[in-house]
Amino acid sequence: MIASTLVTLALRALLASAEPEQVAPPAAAPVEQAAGQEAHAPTAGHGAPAEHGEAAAEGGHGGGHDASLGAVMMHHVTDGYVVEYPGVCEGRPSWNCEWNLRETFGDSLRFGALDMTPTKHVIFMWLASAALLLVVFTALRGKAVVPKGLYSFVEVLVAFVRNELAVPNIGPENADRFLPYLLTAFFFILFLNLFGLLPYSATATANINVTVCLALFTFFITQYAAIRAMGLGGFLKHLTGGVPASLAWLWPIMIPVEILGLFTKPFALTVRLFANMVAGHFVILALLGLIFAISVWVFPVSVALALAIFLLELFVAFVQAYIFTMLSALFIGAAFAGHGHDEGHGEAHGHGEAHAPAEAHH
Amino acid sequence: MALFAVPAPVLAAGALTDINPGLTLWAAITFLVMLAVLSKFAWGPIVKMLDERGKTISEAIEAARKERAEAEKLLASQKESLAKATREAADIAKRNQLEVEALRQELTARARQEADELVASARKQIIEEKSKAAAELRSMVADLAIDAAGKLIKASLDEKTQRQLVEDYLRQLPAGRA
Repeated sequence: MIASTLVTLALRALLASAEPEQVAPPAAAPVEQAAGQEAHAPTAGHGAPAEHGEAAAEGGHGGGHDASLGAVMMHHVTDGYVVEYPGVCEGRPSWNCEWNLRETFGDSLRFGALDMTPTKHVIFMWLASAALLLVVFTALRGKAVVPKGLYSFVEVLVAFVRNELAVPNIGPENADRFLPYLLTAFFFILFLNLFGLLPYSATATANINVTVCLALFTFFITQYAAIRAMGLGGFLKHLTGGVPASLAWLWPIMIPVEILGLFTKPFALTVRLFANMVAGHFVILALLGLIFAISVWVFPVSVALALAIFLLELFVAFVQAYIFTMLSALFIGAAFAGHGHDEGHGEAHGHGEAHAPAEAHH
Repeated sequence: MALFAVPAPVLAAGALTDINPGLTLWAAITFLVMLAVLSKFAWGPIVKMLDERGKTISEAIEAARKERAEAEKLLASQKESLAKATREAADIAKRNQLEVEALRQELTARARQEADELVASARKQIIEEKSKAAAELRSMVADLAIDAAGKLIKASLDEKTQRQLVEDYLRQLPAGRA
């Protein structure tokens, strides 16, 4: 409760004090007043623009960018063609060197309307994938009947996905066929989530274009499983929602509903993962932004709360990987079960857990 | 509540939900590569190892159970033979004790008998020696008497002299010999 209140307060203060730079001067006065009242810090209004400059500098967003905190937060979470890193650039060490992918790749990866130029999220997706390969292949060196080292940990996760997600939801006879997909999805999402928590990195799973791709894989595999289990005829018949031919006049209602039903599942998967990853980052940025919006003296509270949310994010990284994998397994299992409407419990469960952090920032 | 309206322009900037098909395609390519590589080199071997471990463990449990049963059987037989051995040892000890006792009694009896025999033979010898001595004495007395008689006859003097002679003779005999 306290955390959500503070986050709301922070967002209000940040965005309110950010306004003067974006809107016309007459609108600035009342908003600044409101910010001052909310934050109980009369100096905040005056100090805000100067501190915003600091915020931008500290956050590594100097130069000609929009320096308001709201913009800084958006910049952190959204995708782009500029990768920032600490290193040596223009002949001197700097905390915020920039690598412009547009400049590097130019138009070489533009195919008509399709722009395949790697973005920041693509780069960090590759880095996270490389980290995943590194971890898994390092772990594999410890593979033995009596496991040791990192392998034990990887194997625990594999065994968990297999015994707790795949087998109970899909059934022991079909589970192993879908296990590679579920395991890859689990580890891929987990590593992308965790990688996003590193300084300077970006969370690819906080991009709806990435999550929709993962959800589409689950969608296609689910349809494949359904067609395989029921045959193409059975699959098409299933789209009537089980309404018999004698009630064929109901089909114009049932078929669109069923087809919509097919797409709600991947849509839910897409938005759940995306929203959760974005929300956590927003909360952390908002809490740290309090330091610049109110006063530097709120830093103990800000940093402590941001740390708490960061730890929560670590947990959420696992939970979201788990939920995505679990729901994928559930959908595949439901396709095998013949009629895919018994996943309501899993959906509700997923929503309850997954949306708590997302709601915190509203 | 008016403040809630303020975030809208920033949050609804659209940047969060920008559609970028290139990114989706890259994600798909990356994911498929990961799927291929990890399935072939990681998940397959790991799942195989899990199965193998499961098999190994169940086999080990089965073997342990079998061995335990065997060990219990062995232990029971060991206990039985131990009990038997103990019983036998007790028997032997008891028998030995009886034998020793019997031997002791026998030895004691024999020793006593031998002692008795020794005493008896000693007594017999003493009696024999004694009778032998008596016989010797008797013959010696007879010789003496004959000797004395011969002297008497030789002298054959008056009664007075005869008496005198006998008395002299008797006197010349060592005292206490009769």
